[in-house]
Amino acid sequence: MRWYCAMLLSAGVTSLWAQGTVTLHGFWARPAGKAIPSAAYGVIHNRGTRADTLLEAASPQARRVELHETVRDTAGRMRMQKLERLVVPAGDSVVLRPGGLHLMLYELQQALRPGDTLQLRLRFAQAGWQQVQCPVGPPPRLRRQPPEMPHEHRH
Amino acid sequence: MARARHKWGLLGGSAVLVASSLVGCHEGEPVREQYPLWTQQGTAVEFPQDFRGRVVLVAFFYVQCPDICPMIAERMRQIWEALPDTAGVQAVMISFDPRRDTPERLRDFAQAHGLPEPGFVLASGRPEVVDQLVERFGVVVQKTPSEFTAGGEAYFFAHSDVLFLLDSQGRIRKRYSGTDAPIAEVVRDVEQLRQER
Repeated sequence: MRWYCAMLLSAGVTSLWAQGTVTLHGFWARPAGKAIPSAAYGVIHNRGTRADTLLEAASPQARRVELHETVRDTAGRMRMQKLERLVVPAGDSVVLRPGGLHLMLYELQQALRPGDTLQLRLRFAQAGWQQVQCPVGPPPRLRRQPPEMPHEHRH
Repeated sequence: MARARHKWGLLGGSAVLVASSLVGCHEGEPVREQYPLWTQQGTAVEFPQDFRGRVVLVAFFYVQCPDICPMIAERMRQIWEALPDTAGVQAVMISFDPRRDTPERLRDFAQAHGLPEPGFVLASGRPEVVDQLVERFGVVVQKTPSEFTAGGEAYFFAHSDVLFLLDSQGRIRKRYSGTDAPIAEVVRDVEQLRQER
């Protein structure tokens, strides 16, 4: 019994430790009409001493969520490719950003409009399922700052 | 499946996304051909004839695009908002996915991404017309299969990331990266072309 309790305690501590090692920051999602794919972006930070791996993602608001990367091919075309997993190195961050890595949301249950919130869950090999809420709207930097102005003409 | 087409080099250069000097070089011939399109309001327009007399920002996109095309739309909106005066200026986004991009979907895209009307016209047309238009502008578009898209419409597009600037005569005067066009530079170029009118 003592051994069993020790195992449980150990498992719990391990779980807590593991879940605390991956944190999700600044996630947001693009507006999209119903049945139009959307994309979610943000920063995955791994504070642990071991690399972790993003294995899958899900949302109750989309039928399927996939990890994609936009790349430029040799003909100058922008194309997307699906990734099966994403390694987040120990003590490092991976940024999902427009024009690069992103989580692709297929078949939305309903349109995502600015001001909505997208619920997103990400499963990591070490940290397990992590949940994050993504405000829907333009990229955060576009919300905080006014449009860039042509300063050259202001004198 | 693939409808690969179109090569770069419309303006005489082979570089893919190099913005050229506005003054004195790379001035294209006026786009004399007429392309009948429909807009997000379901109205018929002749492109570019119906926009003559205005400085026109033109980009090509498709609504189902989740990443690059919204970036192009955002950048065009930023440029629009940075213009000191939008009189005589028009933004036109042309979908190369006419089978799916109905006026309703175009309207929805404009609304979702905050593209103001009447400054922004979103348009598409019959597939053969759009094919010709895309080719005329030297835009690279290739249909790519996807295992999972809505309604069995299982394809995306690999496509160019480009923004064109047309003068009031319908000449292509400059092109930029669509997602990363330098806002101040585009605003300056638009203002210069407005002065030429």
